[in-house]
Amino acid sequence: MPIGFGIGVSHGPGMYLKTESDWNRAWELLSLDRGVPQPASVELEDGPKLREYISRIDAGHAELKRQFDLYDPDICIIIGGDQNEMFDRSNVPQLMFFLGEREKAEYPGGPMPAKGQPYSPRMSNLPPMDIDIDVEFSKWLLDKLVKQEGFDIAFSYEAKPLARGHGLSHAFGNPASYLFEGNNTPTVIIYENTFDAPSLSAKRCYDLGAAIARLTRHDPRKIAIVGSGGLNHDPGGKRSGWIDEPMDRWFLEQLAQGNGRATQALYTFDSDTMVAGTGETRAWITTAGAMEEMGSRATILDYMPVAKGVTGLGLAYWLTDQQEHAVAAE
Amino acid sequence: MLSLVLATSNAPSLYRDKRDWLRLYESQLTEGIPAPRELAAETDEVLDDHLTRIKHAQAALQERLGSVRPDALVVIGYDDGVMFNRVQVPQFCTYTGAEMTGSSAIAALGEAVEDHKVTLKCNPEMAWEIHRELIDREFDMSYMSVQNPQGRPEWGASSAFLYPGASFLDGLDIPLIPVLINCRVDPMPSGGRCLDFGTALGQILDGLPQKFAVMAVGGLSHDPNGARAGWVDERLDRFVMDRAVRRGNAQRLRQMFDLESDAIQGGTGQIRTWLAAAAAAESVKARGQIIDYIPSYRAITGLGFAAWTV
Repeated sequence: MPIGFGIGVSHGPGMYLKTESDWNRAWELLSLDRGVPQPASVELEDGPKLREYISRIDAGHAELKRQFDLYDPDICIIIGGDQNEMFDRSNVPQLMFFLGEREKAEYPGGPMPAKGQPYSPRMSNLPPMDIDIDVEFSKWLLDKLVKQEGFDIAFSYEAKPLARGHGLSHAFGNPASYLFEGNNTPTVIIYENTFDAPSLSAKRCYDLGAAIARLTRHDPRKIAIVGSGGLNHDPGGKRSGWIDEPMDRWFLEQLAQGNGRATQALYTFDSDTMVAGTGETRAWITTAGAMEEMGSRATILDYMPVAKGVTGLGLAYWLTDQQEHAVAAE
Repeated sequence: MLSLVLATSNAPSLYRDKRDWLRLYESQLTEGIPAPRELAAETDEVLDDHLTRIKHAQAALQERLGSVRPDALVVIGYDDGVMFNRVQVPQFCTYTGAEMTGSSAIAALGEAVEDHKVTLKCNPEMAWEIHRELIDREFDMSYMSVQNPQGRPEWGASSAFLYPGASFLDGLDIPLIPVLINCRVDPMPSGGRCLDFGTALGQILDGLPQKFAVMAVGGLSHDPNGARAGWVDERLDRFVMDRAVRRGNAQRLRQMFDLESDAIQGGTGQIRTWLAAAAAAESVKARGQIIDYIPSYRAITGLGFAAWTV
């Protein structure tokens, strides 16, 4: 079977924090300590509200996991970006396939840094997870994308982080931390430059997803595709805490209508709203391109514009018609 | 403005005297592959003639650059295993550093890395502008702004840039903008993709206010240490130069890498750089001229030199 299930999910470190005090600490580190004037909405994000967000995130993760397990994919393609983890200035690709057989990734949800320490995505103290890669399938797909479809995709046989990272970037480890619990689905790891300008156009990202879906149309295996990151956020930046909610809601509406092509308008102009973490929305666009090629529309599970979490948090999934019938029949 | 396009082969023999040619030849053979008959015809007199023609060809490239005096030279090259190995191999990569350093020493001649240090002056500002424009046109360019060679670090950078940089480009004082095309590790971009890249590059450069030249480095047919080591596919080389240079019809070569074949393996894959340069030239309607073509069996390479003038 071709691609039959897709996920678009934010992966911000805040999503893995379980207490109000951790959330408030993150907010301090990312926004307040940097002197960024905050939007009025932070006033509404009191204890009960934060607890509500934490509960909604948990429920969203649980539902994605439930749908993932129901679909039970043979292969999971994960699209994600890098933030000075794998790549330093010596070699920054727009697109890259990782072709090692197995690589480590750290769990999210680490302790918040103490007062006075700078913020960086904190990884858990748990030993890192192993992510398996279906190298044969990855190479096959890479070959077709480069030679037939004209995508200029770099590739690496070794995960040799040249910057501050360990193993695969958090964009891959974070969703894997709950989706792969209890299974070890072989993956295709696709880096997309979501962070380091200049980067891919939204159209390019969409076209890549569509090409992946077309190429895998006759594969007998069940294939899932996960776009990790987004939505609108500028953590620690000029607009930390300010979330372009109209853009996020418009974006999700297009995906819900199966109109993901319209998201090509993103990144066509330079703006404070299009850069930094918002660049990660590209991973969703690639997923939408693949799922819409299969005739699917997104189910938006939840959207939370969390000022203290500095991120518009989105959780969504796609099922193709065949899959919806299969689930209904169960 | 794009004012000049050039193309040159890059065999190590181009940069050394006749007495080094035999050692170079032996270092690039593959055991069990006999030499073609043509090798025997390369007497001392023939080699002298080849060397003279090489010097003239390089002088011609130098002279054209000297008379056009571009603000920068975009060098379309390839990695020879120095910069990338199995770690992060890009299909297309813009070098955006201020300088490119390395060694043009030839290991096969026992030359020491320290004795042939090269520093090539580049132009980051122009490189970034070109890089941005290429991405805007949907070429998924990697960039490299500092050197961190993963293959053979002691050499610093690819000979595609260092050899010409240390020889006929030296003294011209023209900043370089190195651009790499993956010509070595599968999967590599198709001929069509390289042509489209060249067309986009030509259009971008022609639309900028500065004066640019482009030079492809690599090719033509050669397969050092490979299945056809020592054999020169003259028929292929002449076809490429005829279509891409003389007739201004590089598009005719669109499908040349869309199959598996011994004929396009090894160093012959570097013809991709010629396709890109030819397409850039055609985008500004430049007229191509074959400067020389020397099928050198002692250098195990079809040595080509070409120029397109606007």
